[in-house]
Formats: sequence, C-alpha cells, structure tokens
Amino acid sequence: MCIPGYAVALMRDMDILVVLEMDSSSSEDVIRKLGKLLEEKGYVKDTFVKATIEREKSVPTGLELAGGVNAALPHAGVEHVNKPALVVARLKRPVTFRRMDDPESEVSVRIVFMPAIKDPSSYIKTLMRLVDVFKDPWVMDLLTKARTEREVAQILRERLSPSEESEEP
Amino acid sequence: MGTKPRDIKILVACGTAIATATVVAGKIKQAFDKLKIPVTIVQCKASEVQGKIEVFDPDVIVANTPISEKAAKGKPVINGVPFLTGIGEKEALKKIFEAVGITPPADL
Repeated sequence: MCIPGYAVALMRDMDILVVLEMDSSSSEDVIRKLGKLLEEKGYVKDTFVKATIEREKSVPTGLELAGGVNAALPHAGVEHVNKPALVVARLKRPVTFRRMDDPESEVSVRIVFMPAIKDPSSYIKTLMRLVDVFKDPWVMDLLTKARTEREVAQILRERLSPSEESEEP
Repeated sequence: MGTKPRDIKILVACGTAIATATVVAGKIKQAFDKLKIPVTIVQCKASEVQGKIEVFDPDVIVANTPISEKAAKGKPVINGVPFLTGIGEKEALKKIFEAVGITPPADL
C-alpha cells in the first residue's frame, strides 16, 4: 500500500501528522491508509487499523459541522497505541462516514482527524482544543483552503497549543 | 441557605470512553465550574451504561451515541454530540442544567 506523504508538527504532548489531498474511496480505506502511516512511524501497534475499523462499525464517528466541512474522528482503544499522535487528512473527494449521534444516517466527510490516544487524561486539553477547531467554521475553512501540509500543520499547532491569555489557571 | 448542596452526578457515555467522552465531560465540567457548582462526572463505554447506573446512580446521562431506553433505566438521556460540533451546544447544556434541577444561567 502507498503510504501518503505528510508533514509533522511537534506538540508538547503529541505529534501531529498532516496528509493532504488523500485519494480514498471509502471510510475504511481512509482508516487503513492513515493507520498504516501511524503504524509505520511506530505510533500504533499492528492491531490499531483493525480495531479502529471495528470500532467505527459499532460506534461511528462522523460529525456534521456548522460550516459544511464535515469531519470524522475514527480511533481505537489505548491498548493499540504506543505513543500519542494525531493524524489529520484532507481528502481529495469526500467519503461517507456514519454519524456518531445517528448511526443510521451518513455524513459526507472531507477532513479526517484520527487520534492515537494513550492516556486521555494527560492530554484532555489538546483534545478539547481539537474540538474547538471542529466547532469553528472559520478554522475549518482555513484547513480546507491551506495549500501545503506544512501550512495545515502550522494552523493546527497554533490552535492546539495553550494560549497564554485564554488558559485557565 | 445553610443546606449542603446536593451532589450532582452526570454519566458521560461514548463508544470507547477515551476520546469523545473525555472531551464532552471536560466541556460539561467547565460549564459547572464557571458557575461554581460542584459536579461529579463519570465516563463509561456505551455498553457499560446499564451497569454504571446501578453503582453511580447519575442524575442524567449524556451520550455521544444513542442509548436505549432500557439501558438508561428511566434516567434522562441527553445527546452529547453538540459539545463536539458546537451545533446546539447551548441547548444541550441548558437541558443538562434542567435535568439536574438547576436553573440555567441567562448568559449560558
């Protein structure tokens, strides 16, 4: 399988890998390709892809977002992860994920965020800031329009890093 | 006045209880902290809800994935996905406050 090219942003608590214009035909194919990338780089175990696909079948992660650029958050249990990472992929053409809040219906997804989570409590703030990215149509639009992997990595690093003023004591 | 505030308990459920439940629990905690209202939040997998209700006896269940009425055992269930998408987030928070018997603040 062809492992896509990527850019990395290093965060204090996890690495962010960015893949742009990935050509995939299905959500399963997306999970397979991104999971392989994480596996290749040692972030996850060889059980991660299968576990993520299985989890997505029983509890899907597609999210319909306000700005119309929908996202999905496929992931697997901590036992499949070696060290924390977040891989973000912008797809050449959207693929269908089933909705988290309504598994009977589907949502067309353009950006996939696949976190490899080792210990949720240690980077809860990063995860919460990631959700703030989802919620902000302006940032999702920036991510959609950015031209290079590096640009996307830079946007995410800024958004996911603690900001001095807004951080609570 | 003078009475000890009731212990508010919220059960947050998602598929694996690692990513999205953690975030939703965090967002709810922030909202209660802002009002200085103590709250105990427990996370679990959607498949564990039934068992957790027995031991934890929550006031309300916030679930990111549909929970059957049977599993909820008569407890109110509120959709947690708005905390991940921002769509309908204030309404969801309002429903949680109402479910635990707190008047939602006007500037939610």
